[in-house]
Amino acid sequence: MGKTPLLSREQVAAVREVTTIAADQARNALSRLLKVPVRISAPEVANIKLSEFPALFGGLNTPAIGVLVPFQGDMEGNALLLFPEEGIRELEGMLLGSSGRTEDDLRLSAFAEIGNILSGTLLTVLSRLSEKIVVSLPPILVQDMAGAILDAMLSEVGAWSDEVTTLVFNLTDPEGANLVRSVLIPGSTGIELFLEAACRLRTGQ
Amino acid sequence: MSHIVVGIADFKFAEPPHKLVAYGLGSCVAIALYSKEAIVGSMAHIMLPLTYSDEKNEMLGKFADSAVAVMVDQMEIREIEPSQLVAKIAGGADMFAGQFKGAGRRIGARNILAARKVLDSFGIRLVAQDVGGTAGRTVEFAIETGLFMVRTLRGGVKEL
Repeated sequence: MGKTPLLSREQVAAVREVTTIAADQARNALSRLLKVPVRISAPEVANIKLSEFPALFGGLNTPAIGVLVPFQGDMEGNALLLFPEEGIRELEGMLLGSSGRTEDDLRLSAFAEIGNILSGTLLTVLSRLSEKIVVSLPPILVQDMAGAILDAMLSEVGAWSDEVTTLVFNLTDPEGANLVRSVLIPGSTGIELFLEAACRLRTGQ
Repeated sequence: MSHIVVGIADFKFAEPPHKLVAYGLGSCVAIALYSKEAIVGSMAHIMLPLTYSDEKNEMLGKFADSAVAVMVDQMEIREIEPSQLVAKIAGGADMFAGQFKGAGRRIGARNILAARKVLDSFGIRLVAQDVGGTAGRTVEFAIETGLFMVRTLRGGVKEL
């Protein structure tokens, strides 16, 4: 996968450091909700060409649930929580009982709530570290092919540039099954906020 | 036979026995051009309606206008005129069902409109379409037959 580095190596490391802290808090929040230890992958921070973006995820034709959380304030952008097919089954079992069978509205609201908790935690940590205001807007939930959900999200950012800086990490269950793929696209001002948060973190301010 | 994947903001040309495939179209639109006489085709996976600035556009497949123009150029190199081509399009869904208030709001509808207008400006006849709605689509375009198959998760497969 070709990636064109727009951020320097030091900047990527700084953004990853902040993302790791925020993602770990999100992992804790999900562990508490599910009452099982949730694992987290090392966050990937990269500038990715639009045409290469969906290939990062695989399974583009498979059913998924996406929770898109737009955010505003000193940083504008979108967070997407993508629940892959295996994650949907696992989470339904944990949240709604072993059969996972329940009213569609109830199961979707459960995923929206997880999306809210994860994105809210991520943004709160970032806001605290950077001492800037970041406010999440109500989540938008969609059930469809994973590729189509990613495609629709990219159309929002596509007008900005031919590449997007993405922060991606996975949350898995104790056996390694993928529960959630978190994709943060911070937008044009967002990376500066991450860098500021990293700077404050390192200087102890 | 092989499947040639047309990624977001990309376009590809193909001859038999190949098939061109665009996975997971949300608000994006797949625009396929086909010559029945020459048995060749091309397909773009556009994500935005029109080139928006005078800056050099390096991703010709990203916009409806630049994508159709470059695919027509490719056909003309093979001495196929736009009047010999037909088009089929799919996609342009409103995946977030009107809830999204950002810059990308109603982008699917704008992509559909732009695709139709640009094809018309080249005199290319639009012979089939499966557009709009709120569902994602995967498209498979068989160059051998010109068959354009559109798959959705809930609606099964349509042959256009």
